[in-house]
Amino acid sequence: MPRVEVIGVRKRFGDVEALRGVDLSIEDGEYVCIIGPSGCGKTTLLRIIAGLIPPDEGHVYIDGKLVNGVPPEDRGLGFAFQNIALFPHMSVLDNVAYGLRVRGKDASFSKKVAREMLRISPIEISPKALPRELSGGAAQAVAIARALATGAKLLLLDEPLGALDARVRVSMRYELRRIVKDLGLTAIHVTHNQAEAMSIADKVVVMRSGRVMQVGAPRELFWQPQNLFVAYFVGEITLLEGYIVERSEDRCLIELREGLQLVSTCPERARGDHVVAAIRPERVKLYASEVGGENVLRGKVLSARVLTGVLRYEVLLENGETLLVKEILTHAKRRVLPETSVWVQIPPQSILLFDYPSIGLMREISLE
Amino acid sequence: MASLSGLLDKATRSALARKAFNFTVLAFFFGFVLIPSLWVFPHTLTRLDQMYTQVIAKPEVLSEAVTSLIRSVEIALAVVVIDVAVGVPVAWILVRRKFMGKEFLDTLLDLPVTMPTSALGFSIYLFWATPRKLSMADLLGLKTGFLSEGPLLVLALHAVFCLPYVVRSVIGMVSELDPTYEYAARTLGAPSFTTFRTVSLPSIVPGIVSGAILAFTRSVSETGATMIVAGWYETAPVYIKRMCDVNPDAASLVTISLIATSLVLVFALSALSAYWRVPIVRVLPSLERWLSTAKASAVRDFVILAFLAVVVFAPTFYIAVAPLQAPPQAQAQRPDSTEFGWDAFAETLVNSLLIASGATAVGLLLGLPLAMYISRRLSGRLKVLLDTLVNVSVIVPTSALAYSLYLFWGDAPGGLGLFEKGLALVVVVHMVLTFPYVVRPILSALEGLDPVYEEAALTLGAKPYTVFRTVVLPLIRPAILAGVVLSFTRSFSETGATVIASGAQVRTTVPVLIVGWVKQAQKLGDQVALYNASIACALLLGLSYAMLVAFRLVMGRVK
Ligand SMILES: Nc1ncnc2c1ncn2[C@@H]1O[C@H](COP(=O)(O)OP(=O)(O)O)[C@@H](O)[C@H]1O
Ligand SMILES: [Mg+2]
Repeated sequence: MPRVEVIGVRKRFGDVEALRGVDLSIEDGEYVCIIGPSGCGKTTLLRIIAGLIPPDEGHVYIDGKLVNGVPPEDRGLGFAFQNIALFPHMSVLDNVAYGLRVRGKDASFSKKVAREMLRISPIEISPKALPRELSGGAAQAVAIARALATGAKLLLLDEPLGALDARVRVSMRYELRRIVKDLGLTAIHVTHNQAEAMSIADKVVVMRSGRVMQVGAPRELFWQPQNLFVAYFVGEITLLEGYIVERSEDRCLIELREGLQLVSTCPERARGDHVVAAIRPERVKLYASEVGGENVLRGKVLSARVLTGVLRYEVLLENGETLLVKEILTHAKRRVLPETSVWVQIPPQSILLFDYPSIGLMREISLE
Repeated sequence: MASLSGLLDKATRSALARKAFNFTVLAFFFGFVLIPSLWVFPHTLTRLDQMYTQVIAKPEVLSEAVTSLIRSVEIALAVVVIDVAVGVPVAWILVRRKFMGKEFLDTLLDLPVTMPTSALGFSIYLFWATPRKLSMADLLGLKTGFLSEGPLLVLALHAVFCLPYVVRSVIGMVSELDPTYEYAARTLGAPSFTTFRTVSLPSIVPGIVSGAILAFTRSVSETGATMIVAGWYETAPVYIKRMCDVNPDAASLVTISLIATSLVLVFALSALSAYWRVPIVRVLPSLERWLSTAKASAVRDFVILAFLAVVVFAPTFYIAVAPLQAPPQAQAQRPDSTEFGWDAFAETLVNSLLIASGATAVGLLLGLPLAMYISRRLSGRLKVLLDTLVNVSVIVPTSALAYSLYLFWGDAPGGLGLFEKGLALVVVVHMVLTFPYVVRPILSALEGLDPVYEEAALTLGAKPYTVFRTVVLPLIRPAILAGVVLSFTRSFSETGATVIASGAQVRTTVPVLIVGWVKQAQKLGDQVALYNASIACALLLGLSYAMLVAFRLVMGRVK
């Protein structure tokens, strides 16, 4: 059953280093999402796994077998593309039957299997229709049926929902996961949409300029990012620069700009360290009147937006920096209006500390 | 310049001026290009009784006419089959493979269309034909040539100068192919050969069809070079050329049939390619897998490139080698005619270059507004109609076109009687035959240009002419240049139409002069004329190559 192992893969296109040594291991039956900014090498990695392009260096194993040099048609995998790529000159049924036909299966058998396979589509689709007559969602469903009709157990998806309307996009992603799990497949799904990845993946791989930055379950990436880039790229976060001015047994005092101070739990750090304090807006509490306790800071609401399911505030702190705050939106909750004075509380154990990057904070988190 | 733009701005805003201008452009297209090109049809309708007595009622005349027609169609169909079979893999190799000298090969491929066909024909004739002085067989000391004058030699010639049309047209399609479709097929289990056959090939069928159409019409209209290589084998355009003074009604009949055959074929093929889907048929996995191996595909590439080298390039370049042999002694029977001097060569070469530039300039001046008019002012059926009519003027075989124009402008009954056959008529013929070559690429570029840019410029306050000058023109510049190059090279290399429009005169354009030299030399066995012709053709080969390289440099810079 499909396990995929990528070891030390490098790929260069002329001057562009698309992959700079990627290691990745994917277990049988896992739904893995690869996210990262556009141009970071996601598509290249997927194409190398599929055998559409050869790596310059490194090895790819599928099911424990080294597949370097094995052509794509012999790797027994299915591939779905962002631009869907149903063959325009063939009907829906002929498209789905294609993989069997090119393996020499006769037409009627191939079409029978294709008809069966089309049942995975959540939408009713006429087998006689031409691709141009289908909606985006239906077309991608057909493309996935086509990819799986040959019995492939490994499904590679390159931004499969990218061409769809926003609403269809959201419902299709759950359908995708359902299909993969129902059929017991292994899926590697590339997307630049982190919300998509976080909502369906068993395991998320974050990439940046040809390297893997972190691999983990969605909540791991969100709450325990291993580096500033992942912290910044996954979800929203406030990054504040400071120095450790005091430390006791398990706590330290961080001095931010303009002398503003924060208490944080801080393992493995010493006085004088130059750090970045990363604060998830979901962990911050917002009060309309003064409260007691650690890390209560005064501020002024700059903006207050109602999003789906959350209230999102930008709060101007007294040192001139901006802190993001998110609260669950409930029916009874009134939003605090802009210009209002507020108090925010940041739990010390919720602050993530990172070394201040030598190349500067902006360069460290830039998407390039 | 500013005041001129201002003036034009004002003019484009005045409805009256615009109407007058559009009228002029349309009048030129219909009155000067389209109707005269097809004049042979109304002309014949007024002479049906003569047609009957002079042609239909005379079995030997009729059978000769029909035979010439059948030969032309046979040759053209064979050319289409060969050129598609060779042209598609060549185009594929040029787009997809990486190898040393690819750029060079790409340039060379256009040589057979840039070079005057008569020079090309002479070169091919010397390469393949019977061992006479200067020929390849003679050079190798062989007793017999490879091909004697006749159908096979005509085929060897036509396949060469029609090939670039197929290759260019298919290259256009292949380079636009979205590789994702091939990726999809590969991951679905199709090896590369099966992928090509079932996925890529169906997508490039329109390119193959339009290339095949061009190849067909070019083959069916070639006169000059065919006269050099054909010997006894008289094709339709050569027949028209011979008959237009002897029995004009027979010439008309063949002209009409030639145009009608081309039009019917073109529309049938276009309709077919729109509705017909390439079937998968049955896949033979093991055979196709074997065909997909790197070794098999390398062998295929090698065979195709070897074919190109032996059948296309060697005969084309042979003319550069031929004159290196010892020049013959002057002979007594050499006709004492000014037509055989180098001054005639210089004069006709200048004529050719002037006509090519002039026809292109006129084409651009009137073709650009026509393309704008069709693309931006018309819609619905009217647009489709005009677009089709522009295509029709590309499809009309040029020999038929020249004869038609002669009937329209010349001293034939019912004609305007303005021009005799000769240089003036040649100029008119070239203006007409190059016109669609300028319009076509510009029209496609305009159709592909999102009108949103023009709308943006208009909302920013630019007046119509300024919008055209500052937004449209820069964006379609590559297409304009392509049109200019096509039109210029078409005019420079055209022999068929020019031979017919020149009548008995030889001192019109350089391809016609070459035909005259070679025919004369063949008839009289004049070795000096033959030798001079080979030098002239070698010079034309060099000049054509230089032109090609220059065009490429300019095109590269514009892109
Ligand atoms: N065929 C190619 N030729 C040249 N450069 C390429 C090619 N494919 C990808 N690249 C480059 O490699 C980098 C990674 O591309 P890609 O894997 O497509 O990124 P992603 O899918 O993450 O957006 C980009 O800089 C891209 O421009
Ligand atoms: Mg991508």
